[in-house]
Amino acid sequence: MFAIERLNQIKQILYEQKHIDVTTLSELLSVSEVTIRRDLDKLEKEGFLTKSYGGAVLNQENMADDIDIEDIEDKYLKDKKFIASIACQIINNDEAVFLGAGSTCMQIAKNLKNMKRLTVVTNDIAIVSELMTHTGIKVIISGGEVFSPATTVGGQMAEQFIKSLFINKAFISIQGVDMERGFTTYDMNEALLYKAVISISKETIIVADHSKFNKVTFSQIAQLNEVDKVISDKDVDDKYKKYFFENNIKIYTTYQIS
Amino acid sequence: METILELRDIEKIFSQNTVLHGINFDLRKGEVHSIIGENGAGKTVLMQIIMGIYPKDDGSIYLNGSEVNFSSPRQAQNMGISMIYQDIWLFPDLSIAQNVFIGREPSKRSLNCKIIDYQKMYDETSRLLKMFHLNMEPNVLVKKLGTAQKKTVEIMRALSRNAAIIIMDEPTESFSQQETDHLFDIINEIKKDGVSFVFISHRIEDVIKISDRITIMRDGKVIDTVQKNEIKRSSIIDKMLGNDLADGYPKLTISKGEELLRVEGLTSGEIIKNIGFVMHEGEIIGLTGLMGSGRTTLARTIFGVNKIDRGNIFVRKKKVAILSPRDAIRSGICYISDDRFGKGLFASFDIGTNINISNLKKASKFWLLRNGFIKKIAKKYVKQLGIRVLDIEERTDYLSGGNQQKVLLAKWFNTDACIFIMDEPTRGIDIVSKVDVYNIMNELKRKGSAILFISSNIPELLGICDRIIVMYDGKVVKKLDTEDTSVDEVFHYATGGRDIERL
Repeated sequence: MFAIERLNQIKQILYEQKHIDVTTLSELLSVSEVTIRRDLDKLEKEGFLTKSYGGAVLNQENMADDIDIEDIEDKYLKDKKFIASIACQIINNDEAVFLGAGSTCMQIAKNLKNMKRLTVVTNDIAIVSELMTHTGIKVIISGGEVFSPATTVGGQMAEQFIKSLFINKAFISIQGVDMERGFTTYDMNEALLYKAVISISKETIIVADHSKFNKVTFSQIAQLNEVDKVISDKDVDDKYKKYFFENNIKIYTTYQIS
Repeated sequence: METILELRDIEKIFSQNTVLHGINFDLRKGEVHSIIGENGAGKTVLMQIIMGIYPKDDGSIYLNGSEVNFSSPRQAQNMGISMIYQDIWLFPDLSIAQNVFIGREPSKRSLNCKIIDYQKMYDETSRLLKMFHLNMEPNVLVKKLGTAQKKTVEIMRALSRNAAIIIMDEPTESFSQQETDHLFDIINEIKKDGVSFVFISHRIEDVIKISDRITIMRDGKVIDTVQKNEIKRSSIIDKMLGNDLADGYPKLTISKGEELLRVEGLTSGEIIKNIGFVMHEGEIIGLTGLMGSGRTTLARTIFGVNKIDRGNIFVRKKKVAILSPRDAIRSGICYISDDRFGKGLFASFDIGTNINISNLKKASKFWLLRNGFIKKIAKKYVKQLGIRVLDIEERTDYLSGGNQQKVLLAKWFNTDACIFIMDEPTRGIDIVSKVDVYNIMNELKRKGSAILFISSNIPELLGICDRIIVMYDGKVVKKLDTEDTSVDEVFHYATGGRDIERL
């Protein structure tokens, strides 16, 4: 197809997905990655998108309305709230926990009001704002470069900082869970940061609603069997429930019984 | 010693479940060969195949070198194999002599008729009674005997049939130490005459004491066969349980709330004695013990099925009188049976009916059932519990085991129950459904219910429960914190081990 058609295709995909990585685009459009990168450059100059490591993010103004990241994923908000409430049950006073970026972890943060002597380390600026006012919680931001439009910080400096800490429980939200490729996320920066977090955490807990399963995204955070617990909702694909149970990974699924 | 019985590659399948995989087993003349394993290991099925009660699906059985294939217990008996079952199979209103000779009464001729030769029966039985050191007359009615004595009469019956092989299924189940020793003395005596015994039990101490060889079974397979002196107690346990340090169980620890159920001094019949324990909101308490330890009886007593002879039950600190299941349900207690279709669900009815049956008041108006409402409730639970069903009008017995269990749970969620007694809720269901059931239990926990989780699977109980109560011989022998104990320790108490001083 002609370059113009391709550019339009990319725009269309971005409208739907909001972020996309170079590899997927090149597969979808059957051109080389180099070609895609040139396309993305062009679109960035137009102000349509912003390039991030390995991919691109739709610019805020180009989104349909001015909506929160949270509202985009509203479909699963209820599930996320429940997942978060289970996660909170796992957190105890006097612990040091890590909260990753994203709406599920934000829901966890919202439920931590009454914790005491809790240290929360996070790479999400929105979560910092949320927790700042709670007297029982010491909030630590992982530091580094600010990545917009997502409200996160990261980069090599942040990874170094993380490696100097000790975390009891790390709660990480991801975009893809796959039997072969494990836990993945779009953003390579985030992936590297999470890898560092996992290396210094006693327990790694993945939080993700069922829609993230059977998806592969750009950057791998960990293999399926490298985590300790998974919290999701009951509609998770059966094969994951079986895999986790048989591999000594505790899988918690929410049930809303009335 | 020569081999008199040999089983090679025995396979048995029950409705698509393989219960015996390639079993190899042999028995020598004059030996006591024990088979030990947990409930469900396949020990009893194997014996039933030898006795001709069930046909095998593959493999061969050789008796004294020739292949045999019994299609009825009588055939097995005629070839010299006798089985003494766990339950007493004697006629209580007949005498010892009559029971020993039942079905093969000796006859004599008198006035051209064949009549029973009672004298011969009497003399023969007297001889046996002397041999077994039982000081009583052959015409004593069996119902006057104690359990251990009844078992001895059964052995006498087997011997009198000239059994060369005697299979005993859990013979010392309700015996005192003295009675057990007496039985073992008898077995050791009879061995000398070349009679062989297959001794099936899950009492490790007894097995170690009486056996020449021990075969350990697990999940329908023979794990190992060892000489008595070659193995130590802890190795037997390891092999029996597969010591899977399986820890995929999603335990959820939450702070417990108010006291929900208190049981004090509960005694019922001869089966459970002086049981006492407490459950709070938000707790899952495990209850375990061997078959016959009284677990299910305890559950049924709290639920009002069995009569309470002594003791009290308190719900939310108020004493309640539970004389029937209705009283129990009114107090918020429900019992989810391990016998799904025997005592829980109606096989031919659809899900809607099964779920609403526990709360017909809500589902009816002026004596008429509200079909729309019934369907609505059914759909609600199908969605909430993830029950996989193609057609909601489907018969409940067409669902898979896991889905049936969810329907059974839904039935009780449809009431105001807050105290759930679940008897073997994950038995016979697939792994995915197990994970679902554990998480459903966690949700009940979070909503402030209390669950009494009855199971024979110790790793499962340690993996899900906050505390565990161990029963043995009708009593509570130990209460343990699941974070603070091990499979070995629980097993020790479940098999009647004495209280260990903990460091």
